[in-house]
Amino acid sequence: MSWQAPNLARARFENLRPLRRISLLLAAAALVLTAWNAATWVRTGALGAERAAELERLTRETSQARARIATLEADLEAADLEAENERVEFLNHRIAERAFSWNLLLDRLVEALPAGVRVRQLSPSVARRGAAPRRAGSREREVETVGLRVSGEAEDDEALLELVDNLFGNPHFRAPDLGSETTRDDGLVQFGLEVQYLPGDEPPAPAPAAPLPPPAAAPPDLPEARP
Amino acid sequence: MRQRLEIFRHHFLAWSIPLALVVLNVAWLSAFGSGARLRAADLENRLERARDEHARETALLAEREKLWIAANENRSRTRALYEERFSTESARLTAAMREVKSLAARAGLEPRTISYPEERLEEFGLLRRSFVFNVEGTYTDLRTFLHLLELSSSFVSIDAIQVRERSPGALGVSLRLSTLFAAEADPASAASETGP
Repeated sequence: MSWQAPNLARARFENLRPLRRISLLLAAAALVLTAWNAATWVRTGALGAERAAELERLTRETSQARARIATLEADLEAADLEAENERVEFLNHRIAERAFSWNLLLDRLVEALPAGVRVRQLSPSVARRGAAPRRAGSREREVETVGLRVSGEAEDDEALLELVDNLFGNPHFRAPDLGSETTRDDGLVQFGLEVQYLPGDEPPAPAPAAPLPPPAAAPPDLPEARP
Repeated sequence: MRQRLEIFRHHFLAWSIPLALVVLNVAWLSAFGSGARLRAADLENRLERARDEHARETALLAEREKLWIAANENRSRTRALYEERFSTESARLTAAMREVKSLAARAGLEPRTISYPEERLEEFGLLRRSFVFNVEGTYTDLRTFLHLLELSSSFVSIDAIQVRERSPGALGVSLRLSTLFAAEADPASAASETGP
């Protein structure tokens, strides 16, 4: 036999613990998700605005650059750069001619002349004279060469061949080409030869070519503008 | 079990409101998130293209500006060369003749006959005036003359030298020098340019 205590509660007992747990869990999840979404919204909006501003700036600057390019190209076309370049090339050749030192050439030629050889005529071949054109955008000047035509007299064959050897061995001359020789009745040998003369102050290094100093007495070379 | 479900039904708002919030948030996240990602990717692509294009156009502009500056510099240097070095015949011809004769005299060479052939270089707006003469003297005289000419500030260059031996120690020297002049402006065209 057992004794049962009377139920004095006004309401029926309900176990609310699972409900509270689930509700709390859902509320926490909702809170976290809301915070996450708000942050995403703000972040996306700020980043988007920043990028849109950059895009607008780039588009504006690009169209300004295009307009400026079009103006410059029209101006350059009107300036007739081809004719300008031809003129500059011509002037540079004339400047190179003016800066050419005949005294230095004669000194160097005398160094190469053996005893018994006399030079009668000396003339640069105009077609090959002057500064070689420079590559656009390069500050390095190509080695300048001047084609020389030399005619003269030698006492005998041996003296003439010695001259040719000396020209081969001299760093200021290149590729001597003995074109003709004639032995006269009096035994003198008349000759004509062509040789490439390197008028720079110093003989060029084998490779790469050293840039040559600008001429002292002549106006400076003009740079060429190429389209 | 029924009792438990009864509790949930009884306290409907306690769990349904947080659940609704979660569902709404998840729905928003999936919808807005994917949309935002797409929009961001699209914007990024456009931005990338715009950056490439901007870099290309900027490089081209720099190149064209460099060319324009070089062309202007060329033009101004050419103008200076024409005006200050070459000048016109009327301004410099007699001075050039005097100088050549004076330098030859200082070197001990006395040209008796000088010819002055002229070549018009129309495409460059120039005149080439040559000084062709024969002189007699020694090798030292010739070297002195060449030296004086190299030191001179005027734009006179030597085109050719020919040497003949007259007698031991005496040479006959043929020289061809030349100088450039800026072509004179045609008075008619100058008048039309300055006219109304």
